[in-house]
Amino acid sequence: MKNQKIEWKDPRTMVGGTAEGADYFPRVAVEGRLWKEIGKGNHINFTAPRRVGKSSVMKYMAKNPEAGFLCCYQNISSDSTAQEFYKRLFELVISQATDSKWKRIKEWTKSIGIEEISLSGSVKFKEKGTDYKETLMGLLGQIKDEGARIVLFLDEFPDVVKNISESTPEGKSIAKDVLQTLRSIRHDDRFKGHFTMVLAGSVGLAHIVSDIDRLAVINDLNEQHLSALIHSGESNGKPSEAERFVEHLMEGATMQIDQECRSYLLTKLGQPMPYYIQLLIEACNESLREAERAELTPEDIDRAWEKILKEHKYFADWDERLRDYFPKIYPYFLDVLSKCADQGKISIQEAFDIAKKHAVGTEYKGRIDDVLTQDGYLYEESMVYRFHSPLLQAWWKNRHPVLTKKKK
Amino acid sequence: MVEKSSPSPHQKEKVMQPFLIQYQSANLSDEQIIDNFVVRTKEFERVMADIRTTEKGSSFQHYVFVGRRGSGKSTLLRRIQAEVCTDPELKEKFIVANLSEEQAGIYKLYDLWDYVIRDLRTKGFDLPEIDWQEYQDDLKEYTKVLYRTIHEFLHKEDKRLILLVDNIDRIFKNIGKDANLLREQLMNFNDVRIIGGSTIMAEDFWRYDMPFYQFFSIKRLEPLSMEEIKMLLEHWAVASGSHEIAEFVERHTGKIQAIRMLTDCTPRTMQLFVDMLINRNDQQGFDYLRRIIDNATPVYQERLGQLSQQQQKIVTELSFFWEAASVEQLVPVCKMSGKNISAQMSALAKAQVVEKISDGSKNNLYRIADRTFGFWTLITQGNSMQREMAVELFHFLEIYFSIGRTGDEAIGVGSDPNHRNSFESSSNYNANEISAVYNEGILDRQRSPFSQTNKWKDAQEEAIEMYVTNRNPETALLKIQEALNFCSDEFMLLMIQNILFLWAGKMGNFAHDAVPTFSKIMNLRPELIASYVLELLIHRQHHHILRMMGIYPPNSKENASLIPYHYATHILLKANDPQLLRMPPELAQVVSDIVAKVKERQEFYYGK
Repeated sequence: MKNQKIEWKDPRTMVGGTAEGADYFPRVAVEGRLWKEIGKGNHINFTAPRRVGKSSVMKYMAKNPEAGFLCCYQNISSDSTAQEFYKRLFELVISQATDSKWKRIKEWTKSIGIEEISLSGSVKFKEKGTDYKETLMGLLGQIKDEGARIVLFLDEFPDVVKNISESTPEGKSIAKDVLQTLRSIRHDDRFKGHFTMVLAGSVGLAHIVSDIDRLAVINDLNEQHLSALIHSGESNGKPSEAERFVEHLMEGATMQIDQECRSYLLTKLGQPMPYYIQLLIEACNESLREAERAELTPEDIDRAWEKILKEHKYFADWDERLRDYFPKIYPYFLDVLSKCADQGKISIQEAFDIAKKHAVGTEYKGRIDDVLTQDGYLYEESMVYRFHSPLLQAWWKNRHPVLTKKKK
Repeated sequence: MVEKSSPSPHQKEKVMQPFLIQYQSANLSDEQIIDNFVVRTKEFERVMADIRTTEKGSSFQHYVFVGRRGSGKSTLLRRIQAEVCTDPELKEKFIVANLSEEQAGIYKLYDLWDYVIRDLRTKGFDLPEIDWQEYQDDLKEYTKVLYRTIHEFLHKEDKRLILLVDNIDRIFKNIGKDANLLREQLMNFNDVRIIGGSTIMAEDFWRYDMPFYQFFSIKRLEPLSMEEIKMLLEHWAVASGSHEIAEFVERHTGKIQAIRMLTDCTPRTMQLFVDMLINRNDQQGFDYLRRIIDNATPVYQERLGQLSQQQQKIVTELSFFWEAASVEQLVPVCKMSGKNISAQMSALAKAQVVEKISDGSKNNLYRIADRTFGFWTLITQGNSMQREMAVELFHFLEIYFSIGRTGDEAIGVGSDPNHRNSFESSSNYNANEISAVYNEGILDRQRSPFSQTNKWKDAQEEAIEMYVTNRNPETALLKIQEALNFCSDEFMLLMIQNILFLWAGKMGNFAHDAVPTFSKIMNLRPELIASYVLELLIHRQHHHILRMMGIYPPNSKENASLIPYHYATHILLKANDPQLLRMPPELAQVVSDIVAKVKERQEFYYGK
């Protein structure tokens, strides 16, 4: 009824930033896998494209640890020197030592001249010039004696390696030393099971490391990946993960999405990425809120989708950037992206076939990984590339339609 | 609804004050802001609902409002501040820092946190002094210490901070690589919520490799709708007790609409307009607009002055096109190479001075992004002819949107809601063609006795008035026919093209009166029939074309000229009867050209 003002309650969307507290949608499967590896004492390389929700998962795990673990999450992307990075690790570990039963560590901190540990974990030494690498190693040695099990969730770790390697002319060798130090920590029996790192990043760690050192320096890390939500393969009548996510967002909201609309919305998006599901739901909510109508229809979803597409005017720049910066290889990228947009995905084999046409050679995958994946056009999963953004995919499909020759 | 009562002298003074303060809403009291906040309520309520329902310990949604200068971003931020500061429940949970005035001094991230600390101290909170000299060798550490100070203060107070930052795009530009640290701090501590304003959709928000990629919820502040403008004017009329405003709103919808369309109407433009209305209510139609232009001159002069000489030239010439133009069209008027213009256009597009319209090929079209700026350039930089065209366009829009009254029903040439809405909402409202009509009109006036007495406009207005008041298209038509006797064929066709577009609207609804009217005109000017039918095809008025086939005798000259259009109509209607499509081979090329032309023009008017 249009005349009766509805007291509107918005869905629980979070477009950007991390979802915490009641806003967090549990990703039970990946949490379980991570805890299993942490329990074994393995260090983890946790990857996912941006806006899939890995920071939310890590924050949740850090706040809700399994029994016996002390956990801490931090985004560390601003660290640009080895000293800053070691200091950060030191402070994160020491901030866990607030528990009064850690008597040994408290005594140890006094012995090395720590004056004050603040609420946020920053440490003040009596004297300047602390060597944080050495101090960190000393602290880690104390942890085993206390019987503690500390897990650090370090977000955007590849950025730190990159920052260090680019910060000075000697950056690469310093970054190499950092990588090797971390490897030696991981292999030191004194720390195993007592100090674990979950190194996360949206930029592939291997990609950064390959420019600095042999990949062997990180090949002991357990690889874990966070994908888009699952929306198929469950046929026993239970809602899929993506559908449950929609239900979670809609909990208590005025807008009502029936099963048909829920399926329609997810089909419209193609790949069920949490960010884009929320963006579309938010746009639907805004139009229904304005119309003071609670029931969502497929037409509303279409209109909201069109509105979002219209507002994202800058996709032409994504296209132009490729054309301007990579004029020679642009035709190859164009074909790969156009085919991917048309089919919803493109296999590595198909990319290879396209590469032959453009005489790209052995670099065919490297160029996709270095440019299209790094810059957020595509992401790879199980030897298949998909568009990171369904909006960009829709735009690309419209701008560069794939025309097939009619069979005679 | 706004209550229509006369305010007390005290109220009048309280509300009138904002009219004088056009650029600094930060200076108004919470009460004044709340009293005068009439538009952008939807955006305000949406954000406030989120703030109110944010639970302790749960995550924050950060926002950025993107809108043109004067679109109400600062006022909206100030309104949020006023709400949090005057609501006891919110005050309990949040502290607000509004850096709208200080943002010009923020060059590094530590400046931002330093200003926040200063703001908190001004509010009477006790935060420790941090001596930057202790950190002069490590300013990153200084930035971290400043943030830590805020974090620890908020923790102690058990509150979270709402940080309002106008022109946040400039701050991102200034802080550069520190953006990583800012994102890190916002994510790690979760106690500062940023709500920003930005004139542009900066790269920081949409580039994958930027720290704030898709981090903010972006809310766009669109140009005010006619309804919102009326609300705003009614509010100001009541609040200021100005009968002039109230009467103006009641009587001169056309003028308001014309101003809205030519200026991309923002609250600030309307504020200028109302200010002028109160102080100079003797002015007529275009004078209002010119006055707005005058008031905007300091701002726009500065904007034009910031461009390079080549860019100034391009922008000025582009404004003379009224709407979108291609690089190719700009080459002869700018006397620069296409490559050079393209390069400058990229820079201008990046700076949001021009808007790029991609048509799927490399040949992009460009138009001036801020319509008021475009109009200002035209009025201030154009020659006398161009200025006169602007005046005529204003008059046209004014008449088009004028409202006559019979009983309670509003009618007018533009009173058909379908046509009016499509015209109003059209992103390509085809002002260049409208202006071309008037350009021709001016030329006609110069060469015809009719124009010498300036009666063309009078006759047109009279015809419209007849249509509006008597709903008598026949009489109106006669009057138009009389006027058209003094016009060239080109002018008449241009006018018909324009009116067909306006009346056809995007929905393809065609006013019933229009086709018979023009059909009769066509009978008087048979040489224009083919052009007229082409226009009907473009606007998808197929049934009228088919009707016209029956008007002329089978072997007449008129009918012969229509035959290619007959086939084109069936092709465009996707007729599947092969008999209908069987045409003489010599006509095939002509028909194909017509179909291509129609499709091209349809794309221009209605998009793909």
